[in-house]
Amino acid sequence: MERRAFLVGGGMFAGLAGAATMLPTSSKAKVGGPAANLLNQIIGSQSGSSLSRQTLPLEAQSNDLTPYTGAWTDVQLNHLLRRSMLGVPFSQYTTAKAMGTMSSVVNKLLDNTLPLPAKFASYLDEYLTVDSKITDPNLRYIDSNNKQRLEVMRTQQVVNWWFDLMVKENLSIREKMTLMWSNHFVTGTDANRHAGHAYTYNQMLRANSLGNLKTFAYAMATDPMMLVYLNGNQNFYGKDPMTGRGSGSHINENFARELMELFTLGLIDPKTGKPNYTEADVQSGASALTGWAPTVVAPFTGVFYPTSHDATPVQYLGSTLSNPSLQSVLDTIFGLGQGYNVAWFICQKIYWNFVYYDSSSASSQGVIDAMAKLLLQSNWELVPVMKALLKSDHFYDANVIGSQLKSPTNWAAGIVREFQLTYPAFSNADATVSGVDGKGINTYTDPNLTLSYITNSIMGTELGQMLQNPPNVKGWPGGENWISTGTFPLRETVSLGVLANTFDGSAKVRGIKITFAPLTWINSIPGAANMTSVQLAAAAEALTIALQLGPKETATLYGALNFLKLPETDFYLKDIYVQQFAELIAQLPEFQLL
Amino acid sequence: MKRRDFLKQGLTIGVAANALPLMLGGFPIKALGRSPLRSALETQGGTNNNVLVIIQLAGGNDGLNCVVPYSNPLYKTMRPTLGLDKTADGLLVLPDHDTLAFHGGMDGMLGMYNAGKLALLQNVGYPAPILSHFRGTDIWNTATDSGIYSTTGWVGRVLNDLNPGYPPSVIPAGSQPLAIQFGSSLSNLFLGQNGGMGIAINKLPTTDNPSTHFYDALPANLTNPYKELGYVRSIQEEGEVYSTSLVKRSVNTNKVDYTTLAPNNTLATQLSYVAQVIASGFTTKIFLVTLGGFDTHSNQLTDQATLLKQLSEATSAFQQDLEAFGVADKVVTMTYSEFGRRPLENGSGTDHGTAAPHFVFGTQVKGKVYGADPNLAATALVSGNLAYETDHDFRNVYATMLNEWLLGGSTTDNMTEINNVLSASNGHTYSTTNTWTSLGIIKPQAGVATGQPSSIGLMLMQNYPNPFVASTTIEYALPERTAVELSIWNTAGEEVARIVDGTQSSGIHSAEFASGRLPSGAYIYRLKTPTTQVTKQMVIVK
Repeated sequence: MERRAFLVGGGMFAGLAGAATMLPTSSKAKVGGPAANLLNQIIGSQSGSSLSRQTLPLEAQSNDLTPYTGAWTDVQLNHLLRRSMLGVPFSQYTTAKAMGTMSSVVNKLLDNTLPLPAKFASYLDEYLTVDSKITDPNLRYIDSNNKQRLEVMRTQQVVNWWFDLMVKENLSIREKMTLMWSNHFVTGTDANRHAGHAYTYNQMLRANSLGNLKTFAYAMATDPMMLVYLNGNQNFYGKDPMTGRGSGSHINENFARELMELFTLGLIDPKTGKPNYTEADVQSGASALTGWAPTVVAPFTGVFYPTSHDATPVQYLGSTLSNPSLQSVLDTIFGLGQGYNVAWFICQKIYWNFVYYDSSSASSQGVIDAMAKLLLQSNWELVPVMKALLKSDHFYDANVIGSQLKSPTNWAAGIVREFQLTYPAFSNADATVSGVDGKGINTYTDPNLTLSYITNSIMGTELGQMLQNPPNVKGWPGGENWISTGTFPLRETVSLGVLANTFDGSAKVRGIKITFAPLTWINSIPGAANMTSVQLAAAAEALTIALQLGPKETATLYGALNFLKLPETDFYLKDIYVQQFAELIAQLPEFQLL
Repeated sequence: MKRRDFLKQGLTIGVAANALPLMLGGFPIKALGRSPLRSALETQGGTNNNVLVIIQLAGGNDGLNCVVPYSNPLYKTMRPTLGLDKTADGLLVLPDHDTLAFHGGMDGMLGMYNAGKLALLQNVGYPAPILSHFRGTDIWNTATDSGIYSTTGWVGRVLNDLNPGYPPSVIPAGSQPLAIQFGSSLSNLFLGQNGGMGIAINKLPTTDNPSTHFYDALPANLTNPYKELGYVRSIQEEGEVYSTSLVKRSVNTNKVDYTTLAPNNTLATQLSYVAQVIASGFTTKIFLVTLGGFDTHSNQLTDQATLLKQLSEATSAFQQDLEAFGVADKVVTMTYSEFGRRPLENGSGTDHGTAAPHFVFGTQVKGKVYGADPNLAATALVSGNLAYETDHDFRNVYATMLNEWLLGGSTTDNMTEINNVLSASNGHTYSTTNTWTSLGIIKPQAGVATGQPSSIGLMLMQNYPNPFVASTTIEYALPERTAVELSIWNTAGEEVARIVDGTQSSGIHSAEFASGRLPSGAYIYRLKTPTTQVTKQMVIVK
């Protein structure tokens, strides 16, 4: 049978509707045993692989960091891996499984001695900024629209490089931590189109992602991307650090405000319910932070210019800064409430990212409080907090497993990793001029067309997560906001298209290439050769679906593989059965949860 | 007064029969129950088809360089680099108010102003203002006092009140969204007691792609994972119904060519979608569109000029489009922003501030300047920021939109109910103030009696669902106790069923009709009393 005829004949799409009996038969394939037998096999194979559906309390049982001491089965292991990484490939599951204990897997995931990835291209050292916020014409470097367009293209490559790192990541939480921090210490490439800055910022997040929070805050505050994004470089007293000219006060409150509101303290003191700071603190903080600006040539870093700094003592958060400086500002912030206010605020953010986006329950509040105290005890080191969290009873509660909605990044990188999709390898080549548009401005060839399609068109434009360019300085709101009437159907359409190899015809014409090899994928399940189709389905489901499916869903899903293992099924149909199975997984509403 | 008490006191006595259209957003009134705003609407003589379009200027639009007090010497003193000059910067002086000028890029909005369609509300704000983007946005979206927190938005609460019981367990096929936001995630503006009251979409869908679901029932007690699964499924199901309705809209091109505007005008794109949906006759009451980038801490002269030009071009094109479609009389548009900016500049931009001017426009708006020019005197500023005008608390603007536009009353008619929805409802307090003012900026609405219930005749509603397979519901209203027949006829003129035959009281009634063995096809249903009769068509699909 022609493949196309097969599909038109109602295979793939009709298969969505019902159970095994609706699956197509060919002259060679025979219908297997009765449906009841299939269901029995399924039920037998499921024990211990997914979360139970039985009646459970509506709130997590542990309200602190009490260690998890229950059985270490695939339910817990898969949950840990799904939450720590952006999708779980079979191979990494196998490696983690072989480690045997929760402790060994958690320790491996939190290894903070991994070397940083190397700088991927020399063009990242060039300074071609088109930053319209730098008003001095000598420093704008916008010598032409051509360079502006080139810089946009290069900035896109930084995102592509990052996404590729996520896809290739081994057993490590680092890329997911980096993603979280990019949504905490937020900057945006729309406001600072500079590939070198974007790359430096991304590496700064990665380098500090499992480090010391206070060190991290200093690195963030002096990061060139951040200095431009929140106008730190335009907050000066005396000489403009960017031009070396000028005099008088040029207080720009942007960074001073968000440093407190979004990066460290939050608006409200968690213990008193009162504001953490006043408008006067915003202004005195801005005064103390004057004098920082990014270097204009590589290596890109923040530089302090004493002649642009206002050294006048200020009252800040109830303290007197007699020698105001970035360090004294951070010391004061990190000292508020004996440090608890910052610790609580950051641990709440970690909780939202790694446990559940809604932390309003009493048990969630208890866990966040315990995390904050541990962060203080560890003198702002993040690893002990993450370690305790990922080993806590709370983390493995039935109210936690499967409760998070996948971000577009987690969803996209997840599909690539879980279904072993392939795309052309990331290229570190610079964009080349491909022609001239109607306005006489150069157009460029994207060296990573497919990656740009994934990160920019799908994750960004369609699904609402343009990496390194959140909608505003607060970042993406996350949680249920990820799934809307507009974005949900797109997730379905895109996953269906990619797995059926029928996605976006015009994209294909442009040379975009994403490949799914169904049989290679299913056969990469450890021990596949000796497994029944039901066992294969169960193994794939266990990694990709956190919730336990009901009987109708299971019958439909598993039914898709029903003929796979029959010796008389021809190769071509096997391929289609597996493909259909993968599509069904990705179409389940449960696939949106982890 | 609490909502429950309100209901108990039975303000709705004798009102039911006066309900004009029985459907809002396609939802049958009976399925939804009663509520204060809804009752007010009915007392008023029924709802109207009025639509409110809300434009969010995200980031905090600088008011002083948008509506410029160019002749005030303090303006130039406080803005040595950013201060705009009447001549050099081509400011657009308001002909009837020559102390103010629109930014030079706002000729489209000046045109609307000169045509009497644009109201300028000066110094809009609130007490104890918050200078955070996010808390500020929440305050405007949830309509709370600055020290009160709420998870529901004011539009969500209003829609909740107009449609209690929403969402029903199954959204009937053919339903239209109560509210539409263009964006990838739903604003808390649209959140009601039961979750989202509207939908968020990036663009109008072009293909409906309803998938066949094979859901198993959720467990009886919803732990967090199953609560979220329920959320995803509800988005999937609602999305399919609403997307299908949107795909099938009757208008999918605009009368005005928005592509001729200056490029990258995302607001214009969103408004072109809104115009299509309104022109298609949707019952959607509220639209939210957004233009971002107003956080001009630096490079304000260039950046804000671009944004204001986009705003002006997009809104004036939208208004022309609505007029060309002949639907302009049912649409009012308003702007809001989380705050205005500081009068004193920082060199190349302005930092976060407080009160700011806002715009309301449409053919039904009484266009003029409302309120005083901003007072820049040091003694008038509060910590260096502009004071808001007490009358122009932003909740008065909302109250005005509700009272004079969505409910179509005069300045006082529905204020008790509106105060409740804005300030204290469903057991939550949103403001300690409970006496908002309707500002009188919308023209009296023709066809809507003010204060007096209008007398209406017999009403027969479209059946739902329609088309249907097995059974459908027909709702109708009787002005008085009367003999009544409800019968079904085939296209050959034969009566095939009579489902009501007797005497009934005044008010709303509903009847179920089962298709039984009738074949697929179009049928007529007829409501007949001794004095009059009404017919409508229904379709059976088998």
